[in-house]
Amino acid sequence: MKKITLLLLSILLSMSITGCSSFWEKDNNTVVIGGKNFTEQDILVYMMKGIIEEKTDIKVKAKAYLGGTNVVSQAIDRGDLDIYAEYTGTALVSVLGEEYSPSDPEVVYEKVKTIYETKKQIVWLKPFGFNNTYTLSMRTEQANALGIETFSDLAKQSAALRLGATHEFLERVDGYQNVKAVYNMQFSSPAGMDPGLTYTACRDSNVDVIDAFSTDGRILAFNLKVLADDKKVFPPFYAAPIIRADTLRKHPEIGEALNLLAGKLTNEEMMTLNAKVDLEGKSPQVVANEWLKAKGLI
Amino acid sequence: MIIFKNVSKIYNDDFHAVDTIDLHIKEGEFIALIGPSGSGKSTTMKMINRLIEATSGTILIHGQDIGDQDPVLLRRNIGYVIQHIGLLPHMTIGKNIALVPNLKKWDKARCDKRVDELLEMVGLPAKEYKNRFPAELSGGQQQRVGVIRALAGDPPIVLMDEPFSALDPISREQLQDELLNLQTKIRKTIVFVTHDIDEAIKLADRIGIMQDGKLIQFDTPEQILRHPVNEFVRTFFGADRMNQVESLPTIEEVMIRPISSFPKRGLAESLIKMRKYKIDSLLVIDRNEIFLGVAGVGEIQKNFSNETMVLEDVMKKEVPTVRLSQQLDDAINLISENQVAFLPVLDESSKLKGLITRASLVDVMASQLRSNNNGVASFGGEGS
Amino acid sequence: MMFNNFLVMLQNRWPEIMIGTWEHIQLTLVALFIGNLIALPLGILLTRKRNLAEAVIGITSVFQTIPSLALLGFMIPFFGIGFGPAIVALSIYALLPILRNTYTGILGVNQAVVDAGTGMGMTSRQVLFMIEIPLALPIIMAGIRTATVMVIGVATLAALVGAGGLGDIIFRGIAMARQDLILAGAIPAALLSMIFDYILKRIEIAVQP
Repeated sequence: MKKITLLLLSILLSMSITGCSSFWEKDNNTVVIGGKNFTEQDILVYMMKGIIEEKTDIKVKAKAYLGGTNVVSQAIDRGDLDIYAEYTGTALVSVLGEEYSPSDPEVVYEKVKTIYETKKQIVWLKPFGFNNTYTLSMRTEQANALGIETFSDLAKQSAALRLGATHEFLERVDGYQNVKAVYNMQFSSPAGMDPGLTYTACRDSNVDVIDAFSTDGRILAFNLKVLADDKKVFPPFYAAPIIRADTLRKHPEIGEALNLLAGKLTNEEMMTLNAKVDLEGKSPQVVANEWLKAKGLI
Repeated sequence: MIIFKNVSKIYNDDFHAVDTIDLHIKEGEFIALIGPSGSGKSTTMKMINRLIEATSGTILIHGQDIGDQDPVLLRRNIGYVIQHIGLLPHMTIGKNIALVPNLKKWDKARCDKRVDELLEMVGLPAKEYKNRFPAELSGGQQQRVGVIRALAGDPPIVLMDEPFSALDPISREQLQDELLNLQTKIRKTIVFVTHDIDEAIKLADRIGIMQDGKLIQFDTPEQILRHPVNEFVRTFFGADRMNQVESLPTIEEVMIRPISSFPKRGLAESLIKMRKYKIDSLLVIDRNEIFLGVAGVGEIQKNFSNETMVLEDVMKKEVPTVRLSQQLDDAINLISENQVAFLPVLDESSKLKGLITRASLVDVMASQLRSNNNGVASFGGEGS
Repeated sequence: MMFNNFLVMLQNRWPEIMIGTWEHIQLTLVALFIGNLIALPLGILLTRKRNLAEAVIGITSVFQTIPSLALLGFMIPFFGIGFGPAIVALSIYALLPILRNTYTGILGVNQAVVDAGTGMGMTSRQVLFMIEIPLALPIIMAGIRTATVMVIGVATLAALVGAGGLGDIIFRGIAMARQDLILAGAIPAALLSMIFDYILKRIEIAVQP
């Protein structure tokens, strides 16, 4: 529920960012790292901050929980941000407006990396390792009982199941509209709800199937099962730090520092970290630093 | 009819709103309760219909203890008029009047008839007023409706809580007159709370004066005026009179009881009567008290030898008279203009009501001078 | 051109808008019904037990100050998601204006009129139904109208807990940053408010003397 309130707050905030960039004064030896408005991004912001400050002399200003993709991508374009963590699928479809046709994760990564560097003078560093994609999820127990492993399995039994999803997922052409068409889903009347509620609604059997992000901590905690997108309807969403080319030229050491994180985070690991914040109530900064220490990075 | 036996109303904080009152109100009597605010007059009245419950003592109506009766049913047989009129603004005049009859479940025809009859009684044509709403009526008209609404269920008792105090002086006078008039027809037992002494004197058969929850005097207006039981009553009444020093006393206050005789009485008999009362004239009236003329001692003695003559043969018919409703000024002018020693006072139907003499005028003036040194100076000079 | 696009969108979305509107009306009516069912008798009761009034109205005022989003969220642990929690939250929102107006409306009835009624031998029930309620009606109705307009507004948020309604369309619009979709939900909601208010106004006039 907190998320809904924060969503509105972040809308306000995003207005103030795009409205007055002079607000973000910065000096030569400081970089600004931004984050989108969800937990995983918070953790990534503080991980990136932690490693940069450990390995370089540069000061980092963390601007976590800024807003949606639109807000942060515009902010980095304008130079209000130097760095944030972006997802390959998001960059491809939402930011660049490119068509996605089912393809391998590496292909997508190379494509966005090239376009960003030429068009936006923004550099994609190496991916963290996890793929936070859109997916559909069910209670493990029910999925096993019905023998559902993949989207295709689900489609066959979907007429008898209830779908609960965020309004965004239901409305997006590359979201439910696409899944429905490709797999021939038969859900009778999907219930729209706040993103904060879908997992709980599924756990409590208010609905049977939800849209989910594959690294959400609640998948683990609520004993939910991520179904396999066997027809690759959703693009891969591998996360990687992206940085303005001018900042990287000025401080190449930042690139080296951030690349230390490359491949260190699996889906399960990210899920666990997310759960520590979302379910155990730890602060993202603490979780990020604990992880960095555990990995021997600081 | 209504009997209070040792009735008290004591609130939790030991405030004695009404303190051991004994009161006996007769059937058909018009009682005014008067006193300063907080004296308990209103509380006393409201205990009769149990809007306020007595804490001790007994109140009997028709010999029955009202404490044993259902207050709702009790109230339906006691008319109630309040100061702020209290007409229901969302109901027509007709519905307002028919309220108690409806509560008593009278049939519609009987209700309608009663409403029409009552409206006509106070000079509001039923056709015109029945379907209007209270807000469309003047204050005076509204309170007329308030009064007849209290009468609608034909209750033997009517309680009135300062019913005219919110009205302008002219409407107030009118409604007082109408109420008196109405009372001669309906003969209800009326308990009327007021703080206006003139109103009490004008309307009530008996007045109960209250102070600090106690009934300190309960008597006719005349007796209270003549024999106030204590200084409080004297000043209470006196203080109010002070407000009126600018105006002269009324004819009624000044006039004395006349010595009258009938037209067929013999002359000798009449002379004896005059001698007995030490007067020089007899007022002649008929059996209905209608004034016929004045027989002076001179005329009687002149014709005394004629044994066949009676008073009507010697009396003077053309004598100046004054009406009860006229002002004292008029009486004084008549006396001086006509060079007469006295004026018979007649009411609207020419009945003899009293007599104003030069001597009685002087008496009144003297007492006015005593009670107020400057107020009556202007008319003191004129009397001579 | 933009307007044309809007019309095309409306055409495509028409069944969705109709369903949303119908769900919205259901949410509103049920919440108002429950709100009235609780607030009207409670308001009347409080005029008879005035020492409780301050506390009770205070509590409902506190409910009113809880942001509607938070109240909706607060319901989830108890009522899950969907129609249930939305109805509970909306009913709670409807309480205060109706309760407060019923209470102050009846207390505001000219005491002289009430005294006259009691003095003439009305039972307290007759005083209530023949005098107090008819005279307080305009104020009570104003409370109901306030509650209605508010409930229709807050009901758009019910879409966040899966209760559907016009909020569903609005939130899809917000998620996609599509003004036209937002309008397609917001305009019917505003129209609903006006229509409900108008109907209640007519009722108010009709029942008044």
